[in-house]
Amino acid sequence: MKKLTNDLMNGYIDNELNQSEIDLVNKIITENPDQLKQLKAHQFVDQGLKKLDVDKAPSNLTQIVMEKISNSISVKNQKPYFLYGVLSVFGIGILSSIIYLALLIPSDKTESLHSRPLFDKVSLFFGNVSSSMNMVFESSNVITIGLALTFVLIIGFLFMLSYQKQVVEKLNSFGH
Amino acid sequence: MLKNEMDAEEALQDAFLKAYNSLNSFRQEAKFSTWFYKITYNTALTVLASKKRKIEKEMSSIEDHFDLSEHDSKIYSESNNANEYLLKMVDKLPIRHALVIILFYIDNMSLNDISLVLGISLVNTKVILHRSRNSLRELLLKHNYQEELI
Repeated sequence: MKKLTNDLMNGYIDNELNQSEIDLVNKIITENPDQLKQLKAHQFVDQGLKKLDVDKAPSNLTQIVMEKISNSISVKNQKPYFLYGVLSVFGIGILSSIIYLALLIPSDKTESLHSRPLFDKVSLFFGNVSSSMNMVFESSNVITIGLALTFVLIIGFLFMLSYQKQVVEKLNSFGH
Repeated sequence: MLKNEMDAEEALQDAFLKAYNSLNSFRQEAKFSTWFYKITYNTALTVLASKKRKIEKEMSSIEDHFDLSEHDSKIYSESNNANEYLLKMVDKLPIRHALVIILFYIDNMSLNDISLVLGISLVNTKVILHRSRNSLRELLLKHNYQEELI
């Protein structure tokens, strides 16, 4: 006596059988009550699963998600003020140093600066800056100050890296 | 899938956020819903992994056998009717099997879309669906629940 296979039963409830296969299923269940029982159970599973309840999302889900998204955007748009601060301080320091060194130009050369063409003036300016820098860096105090500034720069850089890492971690925590 | 309401809510929120942040990467090759389901599924897996549950066991190949009979007596004694029994047994299916059932029957997704969400072949998706049904059918027969149907 023929039996219903799993494929036949699954095909039957999914309406995937052709006419000859449907006829075969009907013949088997007519001749064999046990097979009818099997098919009924299979149909019960199918119909029962269609009645599965959906767990509703909490009513305040939209609000929670929107808050998370807003926080994520504000973190993304947050400017690295610390980085800007450090860079600004060192930028101002470097500019001030250059201007100060330029002002150290000897007076006789300053006079000639006004009477020469622009190219010569520029060349003279940078030449003076260079020679003044040489003068300045010959001093041990300046080297000490330079070393201190370098140290501060390195510390600032480490702070900047740490800050950036924190921002990235915060962003990732929203993403996961 | 997570078997915990709080974890599920957390995963759902994170999935929305991920989808929002990844909207640029959605290339409209698949339906938006399929893309979002996939994000939700992967987020849930991440939550599971972070909870250090036995994810490898749960996500094992479909060739692996699962045995619902170990939960049968307890669930049968706790259920008032066949439907309740059936729903509780679905919860005991391996994660991927339960997901296929849920996506197919509750979300009315096609097997093709389900295979895209779960990252498995269409054939394997169909096999999972059929195996889940077959297992549930055997349990119903064991308790003569099929008589309640027709």
